[in-house]
Amino acid sequence: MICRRQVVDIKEQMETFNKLNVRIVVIGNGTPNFIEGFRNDTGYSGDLFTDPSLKSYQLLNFKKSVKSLLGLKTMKSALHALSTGYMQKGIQGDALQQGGVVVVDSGGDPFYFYANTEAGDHAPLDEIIKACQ
Amino acid sequence: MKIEKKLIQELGQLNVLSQENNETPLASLWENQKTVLIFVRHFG
Repeated sequence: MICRRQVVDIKEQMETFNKLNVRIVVIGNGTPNFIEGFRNDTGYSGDLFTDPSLKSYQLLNFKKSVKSLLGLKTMKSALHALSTGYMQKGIQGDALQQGGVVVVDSGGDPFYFYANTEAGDHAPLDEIIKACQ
Repeated sequence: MKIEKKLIQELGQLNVLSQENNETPLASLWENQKTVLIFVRHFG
């Protein structure tokens, strides 16, 4: 699934983040009972929360549209998501909601911000790591 | 892309839910160390 890929990538770099004393928190937008399934599918055992209200997504101005889901760049993966995720498993969260990444320090100062433009678009991992150094 | 500190402060006041359905203020997640928040599209 396209939205899980980034979490798997992050998981593989967990040691790097640990060495930098950086906490990784994944936030979804389905109901809490989907969290366990998400863990099983990604193998991610770290901090995981959800915001079914989407308030945090809206505040960060993450996109929400059919157009962003079906951008040409990711038409293939979006169609894959439609054929596998929605048809077989049902929608776990808001299918039209995009995500992104925020890096913030303990003083509340932002170090990095990335808003996904369409399905399959993610913050480059090297940029996230750089913001953590 | 840039984000203002003021927006981070507003973000910190919002709650997210844990797996056990407990409300958790976002600010409590980063109060002790630098933190990467990854907002995923959905759990699908």
